[in-house]
Amino acid sequence: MKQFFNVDFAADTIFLKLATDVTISMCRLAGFNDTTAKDISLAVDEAVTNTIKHAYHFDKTKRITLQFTITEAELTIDIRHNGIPISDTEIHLPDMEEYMKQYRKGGLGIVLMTRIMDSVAYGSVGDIHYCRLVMKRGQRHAN
Amino acid sequence: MELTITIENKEGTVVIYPDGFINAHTVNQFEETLQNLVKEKQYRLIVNGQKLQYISSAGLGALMGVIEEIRDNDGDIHLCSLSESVFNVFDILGFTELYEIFDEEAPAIRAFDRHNRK
Repeated sequence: MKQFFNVDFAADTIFLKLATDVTISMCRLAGFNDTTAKDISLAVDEAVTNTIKHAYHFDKTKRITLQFTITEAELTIDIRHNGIPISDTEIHLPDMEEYMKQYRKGGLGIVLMTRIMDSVAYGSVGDIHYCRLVMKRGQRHAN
Repeated sequence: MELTITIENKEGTVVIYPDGFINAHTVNQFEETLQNLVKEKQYRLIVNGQKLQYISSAGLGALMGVIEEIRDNDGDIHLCSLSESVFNVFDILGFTELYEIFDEEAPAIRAFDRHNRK
């Protein structure tokens, strides 16, 4: 059986902490241990921050929806918006060795997301665009 | 407040104590603190994370924004007393190779003496 939970909020960084708090609660509901729940909430923070910055250019009148879907196999979190879409092909993961040598700044969010989650994907359905984060449930992450 | 920052001068170093959360909402405060210290030519900085509950990539970006100038001036940023979850963020990104991280504040301060002798 699938279980859904949706949260809708303004595209304002003031709501980041609430978004991460809700994510931790949902992760616990899905049976993830505290360490994994905190890691997943960080991935959501990064995805929401990227949406506010790149999809909406900090326009606080816009909306973001988080949709949590829990199945027997996995937790899926969709970060939805109707701003500027991002496609998988536009995502370039930095070479971290070069990154650190050059003391570069920015672009770390996507690295965190991909290193924490089992999968990160971008897509669109009509005018709604999403970043989809998936973490498999199971013994590795369980309490 | 999601983040409060206090600063103390100790034995020729500046110790920064962030209390709360560093994310995209609060990072400007952390960034300004670091930039102001660099403007004042304070190049021996310690971030004591004893009360730091959370850091996102925005906070790591703020550190990256000043580290080059600090190291160009024979200084460094040491980190200490990080919680497991905050340490984990540095570890996931491989930043444990870039910054010296200490369990406690005293050795983080003493480590600057080692820089002196070089």
